[in-house]
Amino acid sequence: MLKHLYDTDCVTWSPQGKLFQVEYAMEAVKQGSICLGLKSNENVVLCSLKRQPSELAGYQEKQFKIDDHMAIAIAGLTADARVLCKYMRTECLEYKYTYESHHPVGRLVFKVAEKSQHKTQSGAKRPYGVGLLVAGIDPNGVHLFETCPSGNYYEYKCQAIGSRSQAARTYFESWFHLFEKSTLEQLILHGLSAIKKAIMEDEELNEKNVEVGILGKNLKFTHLNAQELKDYITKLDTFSPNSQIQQE
Amino acid sequence: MSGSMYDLSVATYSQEGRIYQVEYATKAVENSETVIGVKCKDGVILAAEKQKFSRLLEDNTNKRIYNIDTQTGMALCGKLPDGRNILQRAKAESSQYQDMYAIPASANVLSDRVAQYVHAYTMYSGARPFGSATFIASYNTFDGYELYMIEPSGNKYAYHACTHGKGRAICKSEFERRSFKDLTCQEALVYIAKMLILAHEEFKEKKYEYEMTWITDNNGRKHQSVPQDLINNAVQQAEQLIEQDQMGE
Repeated sequence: MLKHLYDTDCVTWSPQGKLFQVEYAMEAVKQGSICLGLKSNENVVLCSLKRQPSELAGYQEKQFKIDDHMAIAIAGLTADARVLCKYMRTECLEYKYTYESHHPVGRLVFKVAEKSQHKTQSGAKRPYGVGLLVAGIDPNGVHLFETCPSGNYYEYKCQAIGSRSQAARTYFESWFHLFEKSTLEQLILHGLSAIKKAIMEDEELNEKNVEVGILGKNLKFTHLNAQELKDYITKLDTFSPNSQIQQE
Repeated sequence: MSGSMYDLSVATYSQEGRIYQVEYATKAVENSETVIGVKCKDGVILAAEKQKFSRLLEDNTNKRIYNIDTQTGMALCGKLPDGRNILQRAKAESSQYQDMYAIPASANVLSDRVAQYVHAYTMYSGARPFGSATFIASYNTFDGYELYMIEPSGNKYAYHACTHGKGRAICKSEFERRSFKDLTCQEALVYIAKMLILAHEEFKEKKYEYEMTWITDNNGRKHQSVPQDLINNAVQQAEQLIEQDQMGE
């Protein structure tokens, strides 16, 4: 098929009814390093693997606080993520000013999805090249959403996006039935176990290249600090989901 | 099927007078999940199937049917981001109409405005047609129950029953066989569930969720979700009906 005729801009449908530019933008998400999120009845945990452009550079942060009750983890073009992050923060501030309460999570994700869709319907624009995992807590409950460059969004029990994320998703499919009733500590250990499945053979998890963010009904969004990360990574050696089943 | 060089821009007619880009956009809708709208004796029902493409997805979220107003609902078929764009426009139009005229917009007027919006995107090379068909169901005191479908081309018609998506052929044949005008909404739920289940016959092993909403005499003529237990019952009974049909063959 003459793909090259139909894949140069967002305003050309292919004969099969596909938008190739949007599909290519989704590839950018797959190039980013892995980030994942999982939730229980009380908490949401975001875990990401950070990349270092060179030995002399720092690690690129992947998780950003949007408000006390909401945070995102990004995979893809960091610059595009910055735009969306700024937008979400502004919306939360305005909502708080007007209504004196936290922005409902689902509605903000809808707005982000709407914004992303507009960029897929103009000849002069390109889609955002970043996928977000949005973790948030509001009176409707505990939420984890994924947004895509296409403007689609989905609500998940747990999800992993980015490079080699299929390994993490496979881990989730085996164990997600335990997450609902898990404690915060168990949730973090599950998240780190899932990331461990997705790293390369010669890589190792350490407190420098892993980022863990936690959110709870009475817990504002915080990152685990270096010491806490070290402790959890050490606990990984003795952690097994089977032991959690035996407890219940 | 390729339109040679006449299919690259929506601002280009082919030699037979076709606009291929609009047809390709319609293809995107035809390849997506089935959505049904049906007018019954005492109301209108909108229904959509949702494939749970991952076990990790949360249940009863990722909606396809939304409220535009208390008595008007819209179902989206095709590419959901495009559908939501149309939805936001429909909400804005409905809101503006109510501000201006102090009564809710009738489905006739609302669908006309939405259709004009959708059509506008088929006229400029700097934009593309929406890859989404939308169904509008509503009730008002002058016109009663109404059901419209707006296609990516901007075409809109009022229907007794309409469908789009992968299973549209199966649904259309079922519409012709069964007179939904003689059934109440509650009675029709089973047959709607049956159509949605048959629509994804080839993907039987996958998990599906069914989203159904209605506007009926019995629920205050408001656009609301069908209670989950009624949906579950309808799906169960539909599965039994399908089994019986298959054994009969």
